[in-house]
Amino acid sequence: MKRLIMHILATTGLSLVIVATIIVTRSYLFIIPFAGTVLPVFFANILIHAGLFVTGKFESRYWILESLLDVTYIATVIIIFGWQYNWFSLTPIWSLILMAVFMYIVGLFLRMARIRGEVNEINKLLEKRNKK
Amino acid sequence: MIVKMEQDSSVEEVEILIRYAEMSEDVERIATMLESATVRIKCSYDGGEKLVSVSDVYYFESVDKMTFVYCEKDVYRTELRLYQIVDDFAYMGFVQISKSCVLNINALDLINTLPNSRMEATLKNDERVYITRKYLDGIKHALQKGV
Repeated sequence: MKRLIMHILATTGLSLVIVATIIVTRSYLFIIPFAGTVLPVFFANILIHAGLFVTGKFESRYWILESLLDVTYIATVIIIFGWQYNWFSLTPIWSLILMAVFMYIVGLFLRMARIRGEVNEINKLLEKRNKK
Repeated sequence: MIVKMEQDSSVEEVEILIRYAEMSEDVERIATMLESATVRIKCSYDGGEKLVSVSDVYYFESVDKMTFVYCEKDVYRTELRLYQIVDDFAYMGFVQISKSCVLNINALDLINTLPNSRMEATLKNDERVYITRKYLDGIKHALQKGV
């Protein structure tokens, strides 16, 4: 649970940094009320993580199918929130989906790094055990 | 470790005595291994039936509601379900590694990471099986506990 909350806050932070970058680079800084962006982004992230928890239960022999399911789900949430909160007036839909894919890939690399650390730990335990 | 064997025609059942100075994980593991050597499960193969020692099993795999028993070289079928195997044989080092596979960690040689945070376990007979990330903690805990 603690890890899930940390992930939600981390991806919310990352989403906001990306949104803020777009706003600044496109000179929308004074047009968009920040509070109107923060909460929907936060809720979208909660929904995304809750959904990824469910999609994580799906196991396939082909890892691409699992990733495709995750990305499709994330894109669906973003499209629904974008339509609801009028995000598409600011940023085209494809660019929001690209942002989501980018964040998914970042998350994937972070997860791989954590798993690699755990696997190394397990291999050390196995080595120690097999030496005995 | 010194292994002594003694023949005594008066005993009815094999008796094993483990003499130790201090109880340790290793002593517990040896005791568990000895106990598991006598635990057998009924397996079937090509119309025949056989009792297979659980300690000889490398992993159990469920395919289309059937449970297959993989030993070093042979494959059998059992009526046991994966959840029963996890419940009954966890103390012998059997851990779930994916939705359809329960592995004997005594048969595990090493784990490799694959793309998309997947893992592959190499067994002592060089066979490879997939590990799902959500079961990684279970493997680590079993090894830390010294099962």
